[in-house]
Amino acid sequence: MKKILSITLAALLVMSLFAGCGGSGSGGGDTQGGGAQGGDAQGDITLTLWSHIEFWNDAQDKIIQEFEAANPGIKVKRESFPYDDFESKTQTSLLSKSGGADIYNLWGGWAVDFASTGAFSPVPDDFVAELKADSYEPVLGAFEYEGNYYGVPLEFNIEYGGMLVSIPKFDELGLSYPKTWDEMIRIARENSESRGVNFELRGFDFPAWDALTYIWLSMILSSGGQYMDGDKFNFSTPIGIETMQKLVDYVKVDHMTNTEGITNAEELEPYHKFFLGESLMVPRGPWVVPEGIDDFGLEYGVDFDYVAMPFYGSQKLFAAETGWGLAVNASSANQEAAWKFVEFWLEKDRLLDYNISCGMVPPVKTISHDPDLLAAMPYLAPLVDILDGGRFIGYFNTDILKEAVGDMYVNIINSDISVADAVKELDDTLNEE
Amino acid sequence: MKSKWFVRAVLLPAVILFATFMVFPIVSGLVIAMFDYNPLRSENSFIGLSNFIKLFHDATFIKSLKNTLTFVFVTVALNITVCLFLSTLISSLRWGRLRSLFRVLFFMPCVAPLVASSTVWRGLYSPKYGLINNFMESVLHIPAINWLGTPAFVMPAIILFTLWADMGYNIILFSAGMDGIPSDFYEAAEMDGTNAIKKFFFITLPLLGRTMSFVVAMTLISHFQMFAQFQVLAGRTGGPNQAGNVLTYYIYKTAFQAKDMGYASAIAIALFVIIMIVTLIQQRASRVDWGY
Repeated sequence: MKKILSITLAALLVMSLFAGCGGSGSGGGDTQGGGAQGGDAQGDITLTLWSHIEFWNDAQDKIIQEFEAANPGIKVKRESFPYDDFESKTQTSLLSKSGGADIYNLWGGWAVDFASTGAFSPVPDDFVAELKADSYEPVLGAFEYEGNYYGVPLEFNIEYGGMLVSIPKFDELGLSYPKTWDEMIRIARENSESRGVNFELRGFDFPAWDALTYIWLSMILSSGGQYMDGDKFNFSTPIGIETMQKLVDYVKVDHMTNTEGITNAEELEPYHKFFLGESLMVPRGPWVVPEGIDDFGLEYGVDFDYVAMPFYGSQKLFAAETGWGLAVNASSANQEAAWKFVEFWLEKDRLLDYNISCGMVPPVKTISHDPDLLAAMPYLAPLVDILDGGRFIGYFNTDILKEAVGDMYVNIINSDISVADAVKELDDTLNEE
Repeated sequence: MKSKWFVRAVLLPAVILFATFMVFPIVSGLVIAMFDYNPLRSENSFIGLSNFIKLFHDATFIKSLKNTLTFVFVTVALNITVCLFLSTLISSLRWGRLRSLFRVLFFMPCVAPLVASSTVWRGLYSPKYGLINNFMESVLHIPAINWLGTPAFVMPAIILFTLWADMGYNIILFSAGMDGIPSDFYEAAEMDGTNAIKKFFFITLPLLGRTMSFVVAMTLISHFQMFAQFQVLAGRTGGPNQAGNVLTYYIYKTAFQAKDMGYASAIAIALFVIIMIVTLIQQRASRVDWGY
């Protein structure tokens, strides 16, 4: 009897252990729509769309409603997660090649990691032809792998070409916005003020996670240089070293700003500090403009402006990475319906409406100059004219590049290492990885 | 015989748990370290000890190792010294409720999640808006310091935060140890006219040996494993010139950002070996063969 009791007890303990490990569900997310993945009792198809929680979820729901109205046999269920959860859930589901969503609203750069694993369904051929004909170069770059495309772009992610300028401070100084690189640097140099480690006014606050790298790459490209030699990094060129030396001197010699934007010394990003009145000019993507208006209560056109940033060299060239887009899961049982939904989303008028709702620069040429777009977002005006100069940054993990460039830059500022040596080390590090 | 079966049956879940969550991950880590393992690739090649050999040539690993050792030994030394001093002061209080009050006050930071308190301290360290610099400038008339943006100050800033966040446990343990020392020793010393400092060094400190051994071992191990404050205070680059990059953070970055799980496992095993060696040395050095 005791033996049976002990075995029963042990079995119960083991079962409770495994019960604790089991279970399913996708708690913690923001969900729209309903129905089980794959289909429901009536035989309708139910697609699952995964995205992260953002203000653009409403615009996605609008598209879903329109799609469901136009396609009565297909339902779409949106599941949105906090950004970090979304990234890890996406990676886990794509690696396991089972479960997950039918469609992912993912960052284009992630496709670099997954396209080669066969996790994504290739874009249908007729859709590819249409996309290639109308898209800007950088927006497709990360989705292409060995001649096939594994995702479609929803935006042109642009981190170079525009900058925030303080209208009151320019008025107070009696200055007009700079038209050339040299003029911009002169204004920044002459008007920066610091007191110890703190700044009263940062003339040109450029050292930040994205901005530093994109400015450097644009300085190289606009001067006719290259930073890639085949599939290897090659910053150790005369123009690569010269341009990095300039960027170092702006901080080390001219004291236009410091490296707080990269070193985590300050919780605020450079554009936050701009909105708090600490800076004269800050380069950043146009997506920060709504944040200045909504979160800082500033008035666009009165408190600040968003203007074209001059190019360092004579050519209006800059690097850009593939931004937010859509990809279809290769393990989805409903790939055809999923691509139908994606194509529906990318119809010109709908994409334009979505870009306006989300404050995004359109990825395709036919709508980037649409009057409705510029009426809704006048601050895009300086950017839409330079989009043709965008070059795909390269088929690599851009976070690794940005971190390595940021590390190198801070190291040069805080030590006696020469720019040439530091850039050589950068090449070695990146090419080893 | 029957009782043996019962014992085995009852222990079985614990053994399964231990094997699943302790033995299996360690063995898996060791195996993965011998592969060029990236979960995003369909094929991962066996590379033997290459990942371990790479450790000796990796400047970031060497820098992280130096930072880790500096952090651990400075923080543990300061922690033990300050905790001993504060515990002595608290134990010398005659009113029991006041002793409890101070223990609770010092223990409070331990209750807060490390990520949350690190985030608050990041704000305190802010060059322009932080409380610490504002206090230094306005009250002490000392120029502001860019705490987390200057290579020389990143590690001291993290050490200061860790001391604040982690002292409570050891104060409780030392206080309990001091309360357990028989009062006869102190009474005898007082009759001989011994002053407080001598009582501390010749009675309290030697008789705290067992507590000290436990506290030092646990503090060393936990400090080698600390991660949250480095991620929050040093940031994703590991601080300027990687001055705040430690092994735990380097493992995280290698595994989950670079997705080089094989090399990350090799670093983790190196950390495991370092902790084991340091703990063995410490245990041998502080062996106690007596009781009271």
